[in-house]
Amino acid sequence: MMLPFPLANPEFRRNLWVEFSAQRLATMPALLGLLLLGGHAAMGVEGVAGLATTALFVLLVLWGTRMAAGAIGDEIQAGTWDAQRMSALRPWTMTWGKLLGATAYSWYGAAFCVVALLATGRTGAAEILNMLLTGLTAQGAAFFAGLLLVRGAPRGTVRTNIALAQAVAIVLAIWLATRDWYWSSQTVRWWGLDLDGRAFMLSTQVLALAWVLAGVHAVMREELRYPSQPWTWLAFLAFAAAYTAGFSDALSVALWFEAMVAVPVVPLVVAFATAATLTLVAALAGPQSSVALRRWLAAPTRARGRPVALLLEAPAWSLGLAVTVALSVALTAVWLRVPSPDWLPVLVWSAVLFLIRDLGIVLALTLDGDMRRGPAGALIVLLTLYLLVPIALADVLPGIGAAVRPTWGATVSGTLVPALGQALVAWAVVGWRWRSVHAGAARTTPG
Amino acid sequence: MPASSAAAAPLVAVTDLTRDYPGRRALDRVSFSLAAGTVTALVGPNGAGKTTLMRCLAALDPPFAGRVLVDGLDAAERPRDVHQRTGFLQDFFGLYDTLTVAQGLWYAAAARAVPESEIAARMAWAAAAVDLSDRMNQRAGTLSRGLRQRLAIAQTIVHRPRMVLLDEPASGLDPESRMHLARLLTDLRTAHGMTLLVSSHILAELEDYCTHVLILRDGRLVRHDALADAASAAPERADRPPGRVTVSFSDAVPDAARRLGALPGVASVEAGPAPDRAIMTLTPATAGREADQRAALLRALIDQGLPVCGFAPLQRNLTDVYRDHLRQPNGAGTPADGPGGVA
Repeated sequence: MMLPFPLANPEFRRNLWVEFSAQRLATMPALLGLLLLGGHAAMGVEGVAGLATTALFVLLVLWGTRMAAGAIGDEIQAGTWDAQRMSALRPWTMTWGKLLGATAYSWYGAAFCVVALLATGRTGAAEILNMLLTGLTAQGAAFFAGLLLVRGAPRGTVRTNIALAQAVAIVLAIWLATRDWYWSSQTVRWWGLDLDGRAFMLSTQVLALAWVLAGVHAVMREELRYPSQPWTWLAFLAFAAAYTAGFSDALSVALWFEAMVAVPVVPLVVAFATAATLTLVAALAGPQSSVALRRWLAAPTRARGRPVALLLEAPAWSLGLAVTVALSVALTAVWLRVPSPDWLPVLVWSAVLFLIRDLGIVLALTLDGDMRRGPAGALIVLLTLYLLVPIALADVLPGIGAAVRPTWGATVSGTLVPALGQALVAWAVVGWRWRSVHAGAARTTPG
Repeated sequence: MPASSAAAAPLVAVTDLTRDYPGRRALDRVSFSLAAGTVTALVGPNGAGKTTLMRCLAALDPPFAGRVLVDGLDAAERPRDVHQRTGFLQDFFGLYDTLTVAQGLWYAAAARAVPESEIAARMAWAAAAVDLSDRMNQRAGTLSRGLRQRLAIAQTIVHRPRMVLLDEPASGLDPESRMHLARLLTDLRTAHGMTLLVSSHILAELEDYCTHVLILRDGRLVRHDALADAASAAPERADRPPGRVTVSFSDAVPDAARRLGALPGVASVEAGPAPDRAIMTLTPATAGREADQRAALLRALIDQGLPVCGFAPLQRNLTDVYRDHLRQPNGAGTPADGPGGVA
């Protein structure tokens, strides 16, 4: 007999077996029923609606994200993940089987909350849909971040990484909720179009969910040993750059820069900043293995003979850097038509050099290192450079801010040259780390 | 090399396999092949690279250099196809404690793409193979260590893989469970034609069911032999170890070492584990004449009037072979696929 669609997914079915028991099936409605009855006794229908909304948030965002973030980490700790990696399940089957399966119990509870909300009539269907989408997106983000952070990490760091992934998801949920509150009551100006705020928010929610799922799928592919491919990451970079650039406002940028800025350049400035930021995040989030890097760099050599692997197996940060440089070239070309302000190319190219420096710092501190302390150490160094040094030394060295971070009014001697020097130093340290981690391994050409 | 293994096509062919961890080479240009239908003992000290080798064979980790072919498939190029042909039970394996034995087996079969119409039969087969048929409704979390191990093995073989990799499968098992495991692994090879690679530190038990031995040391392959060749002197081996015989006396023999050493065919004599025993190393005999040599020696002992009450050739077992290799300087040993290797 053929199993019905969702149950035909072994991973989803296994999760249901794990998550549901007769006792748990009875406990959830009993607890929620008592809670809502209490709310009704205290504040009537308003109390029921308020408590149902709160319970929905707790179940989907607070609890659901924990379950989603641990969907892979818990398997790693239990010693079952490698067996799953060797299964015949395809990346998408594994993705939705785990995401919806691991969080099934929270959705079971959410279903009662939704019924209660609809029964009270205080919350509209669109609002409920929005809450459910936020919950699903947050869970997807937790799953994605959890997968990204725990893979390749030592078992001892799994709990910390799960907590971190959950925190990322909750921040995303809060951002989506605040955007909803801000946008739903007004029109949104995006790429010069005035759009209905509620529709724009719904589109943003759906796109966020789609990108989260695409991200999980891409990482899951790698975990299941499908051939590497960079297209999802590149597409996301392009999307994120275009999405954020749509909000660019020439006046705001001019006020921020304290200078007149050529209007065509403004979206590119925002896109550039977005790509550079995501590149740095990618470097901080991913494991930096010198062995994988050596294998990647050997792709075009005769021994390996697979030059296309230079693109297909490229670390996310290297692709991000390439996109950022491409945007810098485009930005410079557009600026040449209306060269205002005159220091803009210096700012952009010094920002590229600062990004290269930052990537060097991240690599130097995370290469084959502790998956927990490495990125944290890199983050502290970066925060010191971007915040602490410019503020603390401003009185002693007035030009220090421009010398350690991208600053408007940038000059060649005050910003570009120091940025180049710092980038060289950072990568010299990477070279030293590179040599030291390979001191114990004999030379062999990757094949 | 036994004729059977020479005739069988290799299921696994490993060429110059190299796997690095940061700052450390876990596998260094390892080359060997495994014939189909063999059980190979993978032995070596801790940190020799056994688990790393298994993970590369299972296509879980990509090699840094070299090539792994499983059933003709390149593990680096087609890892998913290799997964389908492989069952891998790790040393640190996990079970879903809240699932019953039946649910665990169903999941393992369905996740390994066993057709839905065949899942029930496969579950019954795997449960019977590990003697868990009467516990199908018991939760995994309530099973003993030995039964959990059996369930894990059943989940590993339920899709009938061509190659089964078992990392320390006997670890933590009681003697009865180990005997059961030995029978099961023999059965998987003989009745189901599976090819097994089993790592363990319990060498005496490996000898019961393994046909070949593969010794790793510091990430390098130092020996790969058919087990019979490794444990005893194979006739065609020029470098085979000389024969040894232990002899026991009913009374202590004064000056035994000198008297025994003077006998024909005896190269050297060493004291046995007790005063009334001695171990004689024989001079190399003509191929196929070892039994005649021992018969002549026994006759000489009796002719000398020595009170012989026991006389037995000393068989070199897997433990002896393994110890010999550990005693050798780093890097020494028979090259992979050497004279006794399984090509």
